[in-house]
Amino acid sequence: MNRIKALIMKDFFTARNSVKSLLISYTIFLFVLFMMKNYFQRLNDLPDNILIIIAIILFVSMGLLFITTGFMRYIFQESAIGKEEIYFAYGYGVGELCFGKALFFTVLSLVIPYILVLLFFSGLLKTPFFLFNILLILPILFLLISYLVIFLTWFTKLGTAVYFVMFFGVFFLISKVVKKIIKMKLKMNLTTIISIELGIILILFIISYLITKLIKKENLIEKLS
Amino acid sequence: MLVVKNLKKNFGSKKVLKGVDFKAEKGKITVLCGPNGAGKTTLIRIILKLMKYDEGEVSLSTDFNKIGFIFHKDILFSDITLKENLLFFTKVKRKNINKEIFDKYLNLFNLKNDLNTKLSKYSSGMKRKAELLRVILEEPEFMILDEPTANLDPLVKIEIRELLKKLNSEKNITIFMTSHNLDEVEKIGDKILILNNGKIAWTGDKKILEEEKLELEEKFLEIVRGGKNE
Ligand SMILES: Nc1ncnc2c1ncn2[C@@H]1O[C@H](COP(=O)(O)OP(=O)(O)OP(=O)(O)O)[C@@H](O)[C@H]1O
Ligand SMILES: [Mg+2]
Repeated sequence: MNRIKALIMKDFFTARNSVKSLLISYTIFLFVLFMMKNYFQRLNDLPDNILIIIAIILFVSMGLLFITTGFMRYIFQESAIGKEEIYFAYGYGVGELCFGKALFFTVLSLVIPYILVLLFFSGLLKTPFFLFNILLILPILFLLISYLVIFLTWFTKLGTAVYFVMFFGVFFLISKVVKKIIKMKLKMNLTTIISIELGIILILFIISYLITKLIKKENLIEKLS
Repeated sequence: MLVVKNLKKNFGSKKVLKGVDFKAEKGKITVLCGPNGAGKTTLIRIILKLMKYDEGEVSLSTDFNKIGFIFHKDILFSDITLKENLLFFTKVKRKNINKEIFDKYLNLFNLKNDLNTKLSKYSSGMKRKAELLRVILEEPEFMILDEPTANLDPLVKIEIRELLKKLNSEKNITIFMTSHNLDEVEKIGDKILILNNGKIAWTGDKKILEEEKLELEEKFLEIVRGGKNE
């Protein structure tokens, strides 16, 4: 716990020192919201407002991931220089390291965008399901995805290209599926949707857990050095 | 105390350590020297559990949290300032920065004006001093230092040498270090080890050298050149 706190503090310093690129990311996100506002007004005509909410969540997470992309560059830098050795020397485990980084990214990427989103779509505040999603499901999902991406980019040296393919590929697929759902006006009740969401989270969690368990620190160092 | 017994390490078919044996006793300064590529850094990484080894034994009786180390390469983060770096590294070790020690060494290393400068803007000598400052603030009982005086100018080299001696005698900090500066090795080492051809080829100290009427440099050349001819 102490190590994770220290890690978050260190990453906070880094973020503070690169406040310019942070501001650029947030500005672009704001821009995306502007453009989306129109689109959502059209969606409002749809009967099933749950679908709208799903769509919003997806778009918001897309924006968030976009912001995180900027921070992933920083992970690349650290992994390229081989900074994991420092963390290992100071007692960090692989899981701890990825989790600490993911946690920081999640906080940094979510808090300000949340405020912006709620400013733009304040009506959503009245929808408990939306709040449940954006305050609970989305952060957890985001944390797990960040964890996986950090792990893969850092410790398997998959490289930039794969990272982009993975991120944008996943979101391309999801947006396709959502479009289909909206078209089909598929009727789904809240329980089903929440179960699906929790199912996805569980699967991601199991994957994260397994790959972290499977890969040993010593082997990693040998391979990376 | 650090005890290494019959330590072997290969990188593929390349045999780097072929049975290294030595002890670094508590309260003493043990210095390891040897030609480039002898395996000094490899040995230190193994001791710090950053690398696996093939055979042998490594036992370190000091609690891991009480070990301070300097790596062959600098480890402070270059995208944050010295102060931020020190806050991070002391926090990981569950320490608060000791104000007195901090001020004292900040002045000694002449880093006061650069405390809020990103490390990427430091010269390599400044970075080395910053690394030392990090280790000192962690207040370790055992220091494992891989070329702590690399990249430093002669004056600072002497200052650091004296500083390490003082830390050893006043605070009873055990030191195991490597160095390419034989003059320094001779002056600082309670015990001197020469690593060559994957083994400790010579163990000695100032006294032995005096008895043999040899400079460390001569001894070093004798061993390394001799080893090459093997
Ligand atoms: N991860 C690695 N993979 C393969 N070979 C390695 C690895 N690390 C070190 N070596 C090899 O092991 C040998 C010893 O390297 P090491 O860095 O330990 O030497 P050193 O004594 O510290 O040298 P120097 O005085 O230059 O610092 C070298 O031949 C090096 O090429
Ligand atoms: Mg070395």
